[in-house]
Amino acid sequence: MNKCSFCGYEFSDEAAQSCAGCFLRRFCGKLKCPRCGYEVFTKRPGIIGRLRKRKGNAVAAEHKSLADSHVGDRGQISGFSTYEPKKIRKLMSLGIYPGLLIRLLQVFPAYVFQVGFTQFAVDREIAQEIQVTLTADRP
Amino acid sequence: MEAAVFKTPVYDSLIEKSLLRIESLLINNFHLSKRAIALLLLQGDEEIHKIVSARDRGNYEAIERIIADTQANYKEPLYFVVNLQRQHTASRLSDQAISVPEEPRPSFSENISRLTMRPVTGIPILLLVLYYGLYKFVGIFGAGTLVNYLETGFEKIINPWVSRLVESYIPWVPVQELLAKDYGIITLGFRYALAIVLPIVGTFFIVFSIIEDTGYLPRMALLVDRLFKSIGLNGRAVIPMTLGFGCDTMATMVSRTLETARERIIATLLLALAIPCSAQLGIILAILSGRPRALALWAGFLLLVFLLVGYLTAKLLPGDRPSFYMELPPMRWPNLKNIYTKTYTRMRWYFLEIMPLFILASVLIWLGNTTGVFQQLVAWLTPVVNSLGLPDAIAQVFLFGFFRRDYGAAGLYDLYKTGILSSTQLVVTAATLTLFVPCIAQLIIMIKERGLKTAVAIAVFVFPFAFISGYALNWLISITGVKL
Amino acid sequence: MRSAKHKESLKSSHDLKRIVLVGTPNVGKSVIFNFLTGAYVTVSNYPGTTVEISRGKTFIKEKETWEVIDTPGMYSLLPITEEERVSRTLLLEDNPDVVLHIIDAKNLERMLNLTIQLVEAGLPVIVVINMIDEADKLGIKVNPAILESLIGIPVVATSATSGYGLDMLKKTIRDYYRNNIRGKQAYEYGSCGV
Repeated sequence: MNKCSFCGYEFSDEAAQSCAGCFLRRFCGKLKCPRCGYEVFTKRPGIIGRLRKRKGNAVAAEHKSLADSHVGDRGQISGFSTYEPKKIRKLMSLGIYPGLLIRLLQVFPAYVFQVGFTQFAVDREIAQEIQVTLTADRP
Repeated sequence: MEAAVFKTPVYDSLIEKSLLRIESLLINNFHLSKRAIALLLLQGDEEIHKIVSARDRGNYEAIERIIADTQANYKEPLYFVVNLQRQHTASRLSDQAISVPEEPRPSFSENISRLTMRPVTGIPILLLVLYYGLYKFVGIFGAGTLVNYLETGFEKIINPWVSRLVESYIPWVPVQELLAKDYGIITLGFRYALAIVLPIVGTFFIVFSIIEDTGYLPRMALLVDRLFKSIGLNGRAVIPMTLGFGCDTMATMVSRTLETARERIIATLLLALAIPCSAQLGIILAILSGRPRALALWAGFLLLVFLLVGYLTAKLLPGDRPSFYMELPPMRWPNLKNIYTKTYTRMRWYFLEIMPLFILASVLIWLGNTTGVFQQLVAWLTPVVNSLGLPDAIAQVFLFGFFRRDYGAAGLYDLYKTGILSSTQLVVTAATLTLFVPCIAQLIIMIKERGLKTAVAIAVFVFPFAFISGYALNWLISITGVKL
Repeated sequence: MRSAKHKESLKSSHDLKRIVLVGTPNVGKSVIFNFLTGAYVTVSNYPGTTVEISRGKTFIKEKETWEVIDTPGMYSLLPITEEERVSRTLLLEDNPDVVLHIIDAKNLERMLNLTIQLVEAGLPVIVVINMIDEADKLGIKVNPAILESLIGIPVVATSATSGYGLDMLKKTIRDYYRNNIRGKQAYEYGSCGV
């Protein structure tokens, strides 16, 4: 949950959709409050933070969708964001199941990740459906 | 068939119990075990539900109740629960049967794979592949060197020989014309098929098979996914679209692998409209390569049309946004035998499925000529052609182009050699010709694959659109006064 | 399972025995198909669809011709695509005498899921663990014998591109079929541990 420091409104990452079209969204480290429009600094690391993080600072386990994870993140698939059979059939038929270990290799122009010894490429919409529990980065 | 139970328990006791109850209610015999049917019912398989509700009508309600009762015990849909439990069993089995090393070091092929996927390195690699694979090998070597060599052989040796043979053994002039002469099956149909199309399509299929065998195609797909999304397709469509540069007819057939009907329609339309096939491409490259600015204008114009029409179609056609998901097989060195098999299969397909259509086109042209229908059509087309700023002779090029894309292009080549066309006229003709026709073979496959209604709708759109675009292009060139 | 009697009657009506190949894309299915059938292959559209099915013939032993059918890629018994639907219909209606489930040795965990579904469906399945050499290169050690005892159906390890294990595959098909006909619950297969 994010809290707007201006108006106090609490909102989830998904609710902060105003930034969805912005190409800087992955780097700017800010979120726009959906109620008042104020730009809140988040714990989400910006480009500097990401570079630092990749160097191997341990991060506590956190849950997020694959679409919000960073290159090099690894963890376990904890579930899907929707369980509607029509949506998850594609993933499950490819053999992507909760419980499997996953590693994110690339986010642009498509999300590339590895499960077991196989790599997959998916678009952002599908990446959003995969929920992961990140494990601490390796040194 | 009796229930086939797996050696180790696969599902939890609740689901196992429900399965047994459903199995006992299934009366009719299926080819699959009752257990499999019960499982598919639990997972909500529509087809099986339909079959069971028709066959076991009496018990279907009871079965539905069991399914609903079972579902009530789980938060997630049974489809998910059943699959997850089965996957746990699979994982357990695999854990016992294999030993996996600690994370292996990225191999050489893995490093190459990364390079092909990152935009910074991937896009230059993609352009290099297109430049050397398509332009250098297919365009210059296949359509240039090989075609010249074979064509000369045909024109100097085979054609005169066939014409002499036909003239001395067949007394009727119309039959002579059907077989030999200017538009005969052998002199024109076979010559184009063997001397022009075979080397171009052949070289293209070799390149395509190599790209396919190395595992590069899915990487190409992920690179272009975002671009393709804007025209209502997804990255997967890169396969039919690239194949279109070889043969649009085959590509239209391959577009059936796209997931939704909406994507298949968009792909079919774009293939019919804006993707030049290798036969056209080869000849247009040969004509325009001496005029780099004209070539750039032609390519830029087509790209613009491709993106614009794709974008608008995607906006107008109802349906969901396509989604992109693909397994990335490891990159590997191409295997010679595989390449041979793949190229051979495609070539064989080409000759068995497409050659008859080519011969049919020859026959139709012959019919059109002898009955005078063509002269009439050409007369109607002439004012249209003139309005694009083109000479009368181009009308025939367009008409023949419909019967075979490359007939049109080859006809254009003949005109070009006489030197009566200016650069502007060449560009306008090349662009209109590329847009204008799905050749007759492609039209037939369009009807077969997409249905008559869609195919006709696409054709009705493409024909006037090509001429309007040609008109616009001519107008643009003349008002901007660009020197080509 | 169909009774032995039924099988005999099929045989006498000079219907060829059938092998159906299933598996996901990229597991070397077509290479195994080509090995079994050689050059005599026909490709045709499945009736009423645009999905292509390859059929060919093979000699499992001298003078015994079998028909081999290659299905389009299939991930699960519950179909999403038209291709999967056709694959399932083939399994449902063509009464295969042997089903070869071809899986990638590197991805056993993902692929055994379909194996379980096929066995649950009562189909006469043989598991073919292909690309065993690639797995070996990655340091993955696969033990077909253990898997075989766990699932209770024959498991053959092959590397179709190099030809490893393919003769064993034919022998396994032959033995498995014969044992199925005899109606044995547990078949003997110990003679060719890999």
